[in-house]
Amino acid sequence: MVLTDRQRVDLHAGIIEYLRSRPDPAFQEAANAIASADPDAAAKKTAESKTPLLEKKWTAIPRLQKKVLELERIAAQNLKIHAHRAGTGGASGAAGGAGGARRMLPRLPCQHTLQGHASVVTSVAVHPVFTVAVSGSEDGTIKVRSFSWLYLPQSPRCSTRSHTLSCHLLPLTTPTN
Amino acid sequence: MRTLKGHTNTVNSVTFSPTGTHLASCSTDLSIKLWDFKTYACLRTLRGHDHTISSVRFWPKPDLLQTNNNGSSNNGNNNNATTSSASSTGMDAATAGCAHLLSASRDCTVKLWDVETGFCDATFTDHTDWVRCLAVRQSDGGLFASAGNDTVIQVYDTTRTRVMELRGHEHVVETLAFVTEEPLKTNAARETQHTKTIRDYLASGSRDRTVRLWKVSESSCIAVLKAHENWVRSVVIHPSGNYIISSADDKSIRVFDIKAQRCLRTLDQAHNHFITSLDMHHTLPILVSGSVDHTVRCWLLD
Repeated sequence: MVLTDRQRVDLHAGIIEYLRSRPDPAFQEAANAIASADPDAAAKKTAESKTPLLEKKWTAIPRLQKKVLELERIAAQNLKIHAHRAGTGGASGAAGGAGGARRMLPRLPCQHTLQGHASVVTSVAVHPVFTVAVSGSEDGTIKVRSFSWLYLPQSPRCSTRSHTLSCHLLPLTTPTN
Repeated sequence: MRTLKGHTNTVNSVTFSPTGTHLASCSTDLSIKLWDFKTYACLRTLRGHDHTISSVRFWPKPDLLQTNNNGSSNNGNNNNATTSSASSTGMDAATAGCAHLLSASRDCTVKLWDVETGFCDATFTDHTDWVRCLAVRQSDGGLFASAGNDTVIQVYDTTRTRVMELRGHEHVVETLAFVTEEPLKTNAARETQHTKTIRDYLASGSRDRTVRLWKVSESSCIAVLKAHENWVRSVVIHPSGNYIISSADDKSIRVFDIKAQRCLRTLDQAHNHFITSLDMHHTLPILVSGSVDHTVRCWLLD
């Protein structure tokens, strides 16, 4: 038994306390027997708590096991997340100064839906500089839309241009999921 | 919001010039139209293909970019030279940042057009079937790739010679993409090993439901990503070079991690019908997707 003296005394005290808490006289006898065998344990005043010391220690094992499993799971998750971050930290820092935490990936729900084409939309293209996108469709038209919702600073050239691209609020519909 | 009318049939593809001053669109009515993005006027219509044109891309010319960087005297001379020769498209190649346009067509050819004169400078006939898609390496314009129904991807360089063929897909190749980069990036000072590696990537999506990633310098396929349940219609390589975003006829948009070679995120039911195309901005957090359900959806990236 690998217990220090103090631990042994605590163990005995716990046993005595537990036995004393049982109403059966046989238990009381056992408690007295131990008390006489180990006077230090008998003298030890355990802390006044609802659950006896021994029971608390007994149930500690499964409690701690569960906690360890939970922490391991969280650690594994974080490792996965950080593995990606370590890879993109350098590159995304260069791409628009977004900082290491943003991976710049699309997420649901979609921000805006632009209706207006009469037929299949065959292709889209985003302007290399301004927040403008064009879409071509089977109906033979090309529609030019600007992203008024993004509120990013547009190039000064854009704002002095013809009125079509400045803040005409487009009839954007909210996404219906 | 503007509508540009002019084509008489399906518009198959639209693309911006590297400086964003011009727009090119191609259509099933056998013509390619060049639009001025400031005035929204159609500058020119290019005819010459015998069948529907599936894709157009601008092709930046590297030496044009260098002359803009040199001393102003050099620049002045250049400008004088171009304006004195009657530029019949009304389009100055120097402002557009490129001198050529590439178009891929169902008549099995890829044509190279001169943007200022509007004439077809060269025709590439290496394909044996409908050429569906084109991709140009934007940063230096050094390479372009074309692919289509014959499942082979042909890659060409600036001297207009075919550099290699990439074989591997089992069905029609619907889309190609190089890394989405800042166009006309002439500042080569901040090139890291990572940028060099990702510039080498070419992604292709095909009707065999896979997305393949190729390394152009080694002519090899480094990854086959199988996660879509239907034809892959469009791919985009994320500017960071770590992800490929693809959309397919299974109505979903998927994000693939290149290093882990697996599907990282799926945006299911991103549209109500087949998703035909995707495009992404090189720095702003915008992804745009167009679909057969007549809508264009914008996605915020974070």
